[in-house]
Amino acid sequence: MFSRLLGFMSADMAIDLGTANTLVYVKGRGIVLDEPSVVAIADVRGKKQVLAVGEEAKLMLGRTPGNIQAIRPLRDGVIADFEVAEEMIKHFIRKVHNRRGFASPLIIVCVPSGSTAVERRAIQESAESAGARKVLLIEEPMAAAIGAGLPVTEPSGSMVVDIGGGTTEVAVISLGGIVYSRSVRVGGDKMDEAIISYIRRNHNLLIGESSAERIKMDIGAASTPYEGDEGPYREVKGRDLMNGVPREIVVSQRAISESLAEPVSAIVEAVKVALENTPPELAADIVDKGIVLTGGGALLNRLDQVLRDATGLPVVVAEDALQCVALGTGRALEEMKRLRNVLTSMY
Amino acid sequence: MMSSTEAALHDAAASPMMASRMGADLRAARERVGCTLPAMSAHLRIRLPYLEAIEDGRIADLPGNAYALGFVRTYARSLGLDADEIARRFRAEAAEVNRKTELTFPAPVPERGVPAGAMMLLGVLLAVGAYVGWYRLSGERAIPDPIRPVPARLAALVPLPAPAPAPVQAAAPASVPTPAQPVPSAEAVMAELPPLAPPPPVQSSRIATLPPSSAAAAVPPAAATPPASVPPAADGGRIVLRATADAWVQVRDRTGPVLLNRVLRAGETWPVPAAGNLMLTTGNAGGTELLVDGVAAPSLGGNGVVRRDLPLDPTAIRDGKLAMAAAAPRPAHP
Repeated sequence: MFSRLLGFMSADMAIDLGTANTLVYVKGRGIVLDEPSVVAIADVRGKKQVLAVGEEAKLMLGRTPGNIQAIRPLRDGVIADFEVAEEMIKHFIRKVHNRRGFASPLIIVCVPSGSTAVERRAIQESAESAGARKVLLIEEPMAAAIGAGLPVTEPSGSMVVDIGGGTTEVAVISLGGIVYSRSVRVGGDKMDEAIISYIRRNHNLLIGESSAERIKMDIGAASTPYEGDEGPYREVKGRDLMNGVPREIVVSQRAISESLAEPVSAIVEAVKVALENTPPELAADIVDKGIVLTGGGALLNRLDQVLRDATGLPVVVAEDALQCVALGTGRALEEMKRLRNVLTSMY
Repeated sequence: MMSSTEAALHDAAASPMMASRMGADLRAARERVGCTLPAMSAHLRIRLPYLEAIEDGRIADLPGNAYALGFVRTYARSLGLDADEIARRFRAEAAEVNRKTELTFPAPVPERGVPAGAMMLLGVLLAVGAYVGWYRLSGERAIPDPIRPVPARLAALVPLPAPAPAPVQAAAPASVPTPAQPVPSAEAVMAELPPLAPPPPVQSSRIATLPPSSAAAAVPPAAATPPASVPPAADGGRIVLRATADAWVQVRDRTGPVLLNRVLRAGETWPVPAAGNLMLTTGNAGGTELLVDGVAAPSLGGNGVVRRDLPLDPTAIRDGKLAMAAAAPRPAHP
């Protein structure tokens, strides 16, 4: 009763704390914040202070002087730097929760299904110390499936593949629960790294993470274009490793897709393993309806076609793939009474 | 080819058509590419019935909103159409696609048994019922009538119930203003009793205000009724206790058992049983009168005087010994 009263006064929120982006959904208002999970910290006379968070901090990534650090506090879907993550959550809460200090909000945070109890506790504790009244956790694939609009509570199997920045979650869901889930630490970051190492190896050019990400989003593809076609080209700038001067080269989609072969095959492998472990009745449902892709990685060109060819199943990309997890977590917040089964707490 | 397809699409959108306009457009685009539906199905891995349902606009045959939208987008993209535009039109044409997927978790069947709330209600009802029942039952045990009924053999002497109590009550004020009334005058009054006829009861109400000298004249009506209102002790006792004013009276045996212990109302009488060694204690000596063989004994004391352990001996009472004993302590109380 008292908790409900507090809920009226505070803006309860759902947070998709992702490796690449953090999305905040406020009850009754929808997604109000979508910013990169980056924090810039300045060292002022031995004391660390937050300089910038989000979009602003991302611009500083890889461009900082000695006294400033641009940090991504999450790696592989879990918290790598506890204090910085806490600062980031605090900043985002302050940004959307304008009635500060009046009543602290209830926060639902999603966690990778493959995360350990220690990692979950770290996420919950950092959200609590960032000023939450109560913290509940939801597993990412479940949130993604709810956000994609899949009938997760029906006695029928649904397969969702959420390709995030740090992890790829493959899950088979039926009757409101996860029947099988598999989390591999391959995602957008691994693709960026693959592009960096490919360009360094083949062109002797060192490029930054941000440049790699931009190329991936522009011309990245999961499979090579048709025979004899190089696909679109993009310029990429970096430092020449041979003579140390900055240089610009042009790469084709074919080259980038070749570089992405490894992370893509890891994702395909994860999906295949999940299918192998799916009970036959649910597998029959999946043959009928297919696989739904969510997350930023789902937007990689022709990834659905690669998975379709590899599995022989219909593969569709969800609408608002980037926001599926946040929308699903937000729906769990809105319909908390009905969806309380999918929410957990580490205490 | 791409531009011509889109131009055709826009033409189709402009012309008024039936519900499955979007499906027809998809079919037209597919036929322009020169691809059969089974080949499309094999390429997209979407089952043939679903592709047919999309082209015919049979949305009910598709598995769920999210999947239907996904199939439409995939199909549109594979034909080189703008997937977002097609999806938007699909939403516009099929209203049910926009409905949110209903999420209702299978809830466990509640365990059988009366719910706690009903149990509590039942308990409260039982408690209330028990109390009401107890109240009704205990209320029926009526308080015994404080006025004893006239014995059957004396009933003939009572012509009417109304005049009988009136003189008795009148007697009470008569003795009240004369606590120090001398003994002989009382005896004289008793002697005069028989010939006097009872006057109307109205007169007796004024007696209280009369001086002591006139009290003698007023007393007769009060004393005239003893045979009717003060029955001689039925069980052989010669003494009758009579209250002229409200008085707490206790009669007990010297050996212990208490025979009477209550407040006698004005006019009430109590026949003292014929047992020796009875002791009387009264809280209002002026309002307590003892009659031996129907003759009033001298007054026991003043109004409000407490007398303890007076022996109820007929001869002693008649001789006025109790009254004399009362005279001794009187001066002590100014």
